[in-house]
Amino acid sequence: MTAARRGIPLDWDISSRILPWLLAIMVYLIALALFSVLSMNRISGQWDSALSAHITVQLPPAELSLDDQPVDVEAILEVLGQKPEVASAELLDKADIDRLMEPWLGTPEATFSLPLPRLIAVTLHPAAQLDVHRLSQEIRNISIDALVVDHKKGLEGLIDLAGWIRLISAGVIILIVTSAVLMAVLITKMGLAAHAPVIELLHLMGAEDRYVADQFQRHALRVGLMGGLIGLALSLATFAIIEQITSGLDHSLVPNLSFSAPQWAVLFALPLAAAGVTTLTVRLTVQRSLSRMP
Amino acid sequence: MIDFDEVSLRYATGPEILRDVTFKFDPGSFHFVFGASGAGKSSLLKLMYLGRSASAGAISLFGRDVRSLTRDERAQLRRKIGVVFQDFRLLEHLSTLENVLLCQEIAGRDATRSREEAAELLAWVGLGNHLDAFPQTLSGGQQQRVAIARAVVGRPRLLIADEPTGNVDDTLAVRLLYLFEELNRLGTTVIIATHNKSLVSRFQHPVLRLAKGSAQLEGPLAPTPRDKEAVQ
Repeated sequence: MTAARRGIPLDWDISSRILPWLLAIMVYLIALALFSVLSMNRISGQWDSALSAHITVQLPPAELSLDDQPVDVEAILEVLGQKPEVASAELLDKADIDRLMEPWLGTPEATFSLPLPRLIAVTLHPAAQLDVHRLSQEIRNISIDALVVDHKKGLEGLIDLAGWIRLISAGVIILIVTSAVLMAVLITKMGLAAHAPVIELLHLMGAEDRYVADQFQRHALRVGLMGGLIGLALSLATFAIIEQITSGLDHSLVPNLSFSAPQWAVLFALPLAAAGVTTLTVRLTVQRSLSRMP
Repeated sequence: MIDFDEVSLRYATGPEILRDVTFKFDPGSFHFVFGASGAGKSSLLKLMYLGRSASAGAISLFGRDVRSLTRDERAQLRRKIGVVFQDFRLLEHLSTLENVLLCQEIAGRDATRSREEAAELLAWVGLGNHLDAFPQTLSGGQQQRVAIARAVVGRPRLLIADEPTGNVDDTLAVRLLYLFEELNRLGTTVIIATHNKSLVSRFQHPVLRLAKGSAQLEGPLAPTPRDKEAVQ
């Protein structure tokens, strides 16, 4: 390395020791926030696609019915079949209902004596906009006890929550980037103050502002890349642990949370982005500060 | 080359260090700036090498009014000036050779040639065996010689030296003054600030005498009998 490239001894000051670790923490936190956004997208998407395309018609058991007449299941199925939004409607048999109830009520032997409702599982066409209220009225005209359950209604709160979590994560990312920029400005100003005599000497030797700024910029790029790579390594280790933990879970409840190719690209671009933001911030800070010097 | 017109200088709200200083140095001249400690010699030199701006008055360097210079133009102008600072101002993390090379590199001069010239010059000032030494391992006199080598290696058009012989013995002081005279013969304008009367009287060059913030341009000091002996 030439003497001029080492004109300002930046490798020896506090920014070289602290800034990489601060940036590593920032990159790590941003990676986690991105992961939480991804997770929320996947989970809410899975809930949405799994449940919003289904409704259930509950028919109470005869002993609990308010109606004297037996429920005309065929008429209800006919009403459902006439709806263009309905892809299929199927009366579940006892075995299906037992299987559905098992996680909550135990084995069929235990539920044998319980009066369980009969269920019609209705699958809607994707993106169909069914007027559930109107359908409910039509079905209740056939059987006053029939209850139409729209799963999407119960899901809306959860999807809203997921949306808020995404929004908060995006806010956290913005705050982290802002903090990183402010810290880079602060550390650069400290560096300028610490090296003021050397910078003055370089100016007196004929160095232009860009000569000084170049030295800070090269240093920032190196430090930013180093910090970014440390943060990336930490986040990869964390994701490996999360994948290990979630690999044993039922994917119908928790979707596969691994990254897609574009998401990996974003993750691996984080160190470059950290170095880029740090370098730009440092360059602008140095140029602005130098322009105020005599 | 250098034109001061009623120049005054004060630091912040303090008293005036220089007051209505007016003089003109022609290109290729050799001047001593002479005065007691605290007379304002270093402050005057700072104005000459653009280390400070005047509080009042006009300074012209190389035919340019320094007030009208952009930052980049100031940098370009500074490259034509070699400065020997009173406190040397060597960079402690660079070796002797690198310190001398630094201004060459800032000016974008050829690296190999600069290296050869710097090594040759350091050998001439007696530091040929200390090229890789760091300033903190050198004596005050050795550091001063590195500072002088750094100032002259680029063959500046204007050489400004603030007490350049303050830390060296008489023999070396005379040698250094001969070096400055040699540079002057090659066309460099030389300005040396000193309070060493015998040095000023020994080398017969015009004197800018500073006292209580005012400056007066005079001819060479009359040599003392001791100076005449030394010349003989």
